[in-house]
Amino acid sequence: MTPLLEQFLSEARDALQGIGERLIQLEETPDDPAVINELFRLVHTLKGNSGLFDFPEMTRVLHAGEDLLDAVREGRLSYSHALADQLLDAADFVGILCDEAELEGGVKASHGADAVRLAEALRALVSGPAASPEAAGGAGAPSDGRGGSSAPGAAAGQTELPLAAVPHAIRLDAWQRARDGEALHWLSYVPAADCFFQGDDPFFTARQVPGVLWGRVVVREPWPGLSELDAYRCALSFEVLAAGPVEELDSHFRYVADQVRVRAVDPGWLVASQEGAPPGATVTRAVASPGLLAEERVALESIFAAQRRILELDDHPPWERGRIEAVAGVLIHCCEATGDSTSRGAIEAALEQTLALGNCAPLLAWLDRRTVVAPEAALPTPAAKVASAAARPAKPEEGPRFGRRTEDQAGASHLKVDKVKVDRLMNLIGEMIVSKNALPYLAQRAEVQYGVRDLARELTAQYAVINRIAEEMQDAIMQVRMMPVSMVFQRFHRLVRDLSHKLGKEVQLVLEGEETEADKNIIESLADPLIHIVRNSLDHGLESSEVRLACGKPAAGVLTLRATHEADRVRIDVLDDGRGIDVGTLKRKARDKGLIDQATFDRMTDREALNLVFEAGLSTAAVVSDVSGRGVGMDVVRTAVEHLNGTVFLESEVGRGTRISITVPLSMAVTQVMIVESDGQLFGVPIDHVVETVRVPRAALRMIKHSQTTALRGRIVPLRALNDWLNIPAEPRVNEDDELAVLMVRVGREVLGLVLDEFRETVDVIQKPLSGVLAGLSAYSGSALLGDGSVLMVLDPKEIV
Amino acid sequence: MPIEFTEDRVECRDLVGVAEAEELLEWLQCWPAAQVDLLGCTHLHPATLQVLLAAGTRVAAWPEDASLRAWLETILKGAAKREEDDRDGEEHSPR
Amino acid sequence: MAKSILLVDDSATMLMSVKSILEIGGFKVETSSDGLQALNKLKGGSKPDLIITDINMPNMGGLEFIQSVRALPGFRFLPILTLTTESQTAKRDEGRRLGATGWLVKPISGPDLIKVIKQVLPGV
Repeated sequence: MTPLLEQFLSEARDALQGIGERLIQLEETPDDPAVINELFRLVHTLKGNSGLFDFPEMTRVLHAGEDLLDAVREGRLSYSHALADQLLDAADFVGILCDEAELEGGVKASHGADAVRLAEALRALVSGPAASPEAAGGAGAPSDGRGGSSAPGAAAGQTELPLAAVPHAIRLDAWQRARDGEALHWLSYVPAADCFFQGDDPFFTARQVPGVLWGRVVVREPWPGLSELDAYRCALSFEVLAAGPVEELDSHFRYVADQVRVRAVDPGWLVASQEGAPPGATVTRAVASPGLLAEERVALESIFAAQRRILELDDHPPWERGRIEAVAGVLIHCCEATGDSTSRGAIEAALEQTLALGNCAPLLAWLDRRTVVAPEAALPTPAAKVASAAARPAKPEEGPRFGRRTEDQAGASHLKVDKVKVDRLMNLIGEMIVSKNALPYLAQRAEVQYGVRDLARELTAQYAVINRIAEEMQDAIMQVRMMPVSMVFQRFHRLVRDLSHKLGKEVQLVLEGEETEADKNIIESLADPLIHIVRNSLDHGLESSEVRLACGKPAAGVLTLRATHEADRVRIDVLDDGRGIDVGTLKRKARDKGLIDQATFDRMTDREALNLVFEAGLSTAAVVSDVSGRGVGMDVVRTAVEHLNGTVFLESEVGRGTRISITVPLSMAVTQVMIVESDGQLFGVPIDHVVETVRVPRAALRMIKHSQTTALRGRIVPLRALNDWLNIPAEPRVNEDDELAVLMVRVGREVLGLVLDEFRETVDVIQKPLSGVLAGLSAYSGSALLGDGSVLMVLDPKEIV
Repeated sequence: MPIEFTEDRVECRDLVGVAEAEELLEWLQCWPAAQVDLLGCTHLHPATLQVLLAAGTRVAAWPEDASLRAWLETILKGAAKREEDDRDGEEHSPR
Repeated sequence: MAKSILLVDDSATMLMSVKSILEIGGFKVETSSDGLQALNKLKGGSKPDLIITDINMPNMGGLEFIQSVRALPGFRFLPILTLTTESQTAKRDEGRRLGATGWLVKPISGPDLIKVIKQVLPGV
């Protein structure tokens, strides 16, 4: 742990304790502004500090808490018990994250959902639309603050800008930069008169403008006599010509955005503004004057060079003909603008030939002839350079250019690829990810076994490169396989319509988040469970119109399918506003069918009980209908979702409706597993199941009802020895401090401690299902190949219980 | 000190800050014809710069710092005849 | 000569984090844990080239501190930066009105911090 993290954690704990105490204090004196201020300050500081680390979950919750307290502080909201409860919940959550950060040096992304929920709950307390107006704006953008007074005004006329004051050489430089694609801006910086008293040094700020090409100091008004002069009232302004993106200028001037005006400079103005030119002189008029200025020649030559590049392009888009006509038009106009009225005929003839031949050679030839003449026109320095560059000979091979049929190129932006090919690519990249893991072993061997250090180092360096590329490849191929959930959602329109007709119910289907993407396999595998859930909802959940009206609900029931991203998972909610599930009935049924015993029945919370619907052989329907049939429970759904390494969870309220939430990984190609050791053998545990790793002193084990348990942060956690589970006749090893290594794994919504010998690293593996005789081993979900060629058996924690 | 007064000349060196402005103002009121030597100057706070401007002080030596010189040349007047590439105004005798 | 910076924040974590960035950047850093302490430091003869102060602090908050600093004769033109969070846009502007030169947004990275200091402190 870094000293900074250590410092943070100790300060965070103090702050959390302080927050708790202040909240209790507020119970007594709810309106004490001092206490509220102090509370705000504690949360605010903690939030600020959390931002120093990568704890987005913590910051999110604290941010919501800060906004809430800000509202209380400003009297927009008054203190309430509900508010205190929410804040205490949030504080507890932050405390848990602190513990985790201390133990593991980081916070797991799995807290994301809790963080969102807590933050939402806090925000819900801040009433009305003014919930977090500030948080919405300005996140991270350095240029916020005083509004965008510096938006480049496109309409600024050249006559307003004193560009003529800019020396020739600098204007030429600016012009060339603009041609190279840089944006040009003119800044007028009029500092506030009292700005020195804010510590401003506007001259320094002006000098430091990013991309400054030229600048000057402007005196705003005639000076008074020296005796009258107030040296500390700023009477100077600054004007700057700068090249570069406007964002950089906005950022540079963010503290004084109200004192700066930024205007985009049209490069043409640079060419037009010469000393003595009448204001308002346009480019064309300047160019039309007999002797061309150097910059005008540069401009002209660059236009001709650009036309040449266009003519030399090798692509043959469908609009090639139009493009060629446009080039000819530009050439003609340029000639005429510079007083050359004789070339029009020649260019038109060349255009005709070009179009007839399907070959740009005639127009290119005209350009060649023209630029050959150019040096004789005695162009001065920079222009001559450009002209000669443009005069390089045309490419020797000049085949027919746009003779091909346009269909040949059409529709090239999308490819239809056989799924099998993509899958093969996926498998290959998967194997590559695994085999690259062999390199670190090799490097180790090179060093330890053969003693060649340098080679080892090079191997390691090379591994880093390959690793990066492999990961990018994997990511790229994943992207190819991504598809929106709408692929599945769409079919429900029909299904719901048909079923509701059949059942004589009125149902309105709402689809949300259809654009949410996930791996094709995942999306496809979700179809069946979702259909099952939707059928159930329509059949048992939503009531008939008569019943609904009698209960005071709208006649039409609403069924919502909602997809959202949660970190690296996709969550799909199926909600109905139907009758909900009666927990009591459900529990009794489960007991009567022998699914749970009396003790469980007594102990079980409603939340737990509701999820009994996912047990085999339990259906909530009072009536058997031909839609979902008899006894077809939701166990099918659970099995399917768990097969995808997902979870399913149900919430329901009688009379209000039911929500079933499915969470699945975005992709299932690569699994992260933690390697653990027991009795000298290695096993993998899918990281999705791992809650945390802890060392439990042997003295802290307790026997409760014949099974071992331990207390972890005030919770009783059942323990199971891995050796015992796998029938390995060995005792778990303890370390020097007489502690056992315990891996806390999540199974469903239960947490259980797996006692083993040692924790190892986590690795990415491609899991293969077990086949043949091995397929009967339920303790394993599959096997995977490790980088050193050995086989890792991946445990299936669901089977422990 | 970034600012030093001699008989008819004030020399600015390095960074001339905001605090120097008042002192400079008082001195220039006593010596209105004085010239400024900016040779070793890298930055002038605008408070100081505007005192020089208001007093119409002529530059005896331009800064070596090219960026500062370019900025100052847009507004300050050089001593004696117009300097083109003569960086060292010191050889010119003061008027 | 190394420029000196007075850093004012009630959070030891924040002081530690910003101080280490500044010291790596070659600055001399003094710290205070609230506005009152910092103000006394200035009255006691400390002459920093720049002040960086948090807004929300016990005893004396950042805004009051800025006002008090500007009232001290030797500190009328001293650059002062406030340490704010992204949501505190109103405080930033209020800080400016009361005499702050600019603001920093927490959490701030080393390069960003040094960049801002270079913008407000000539000769760094």
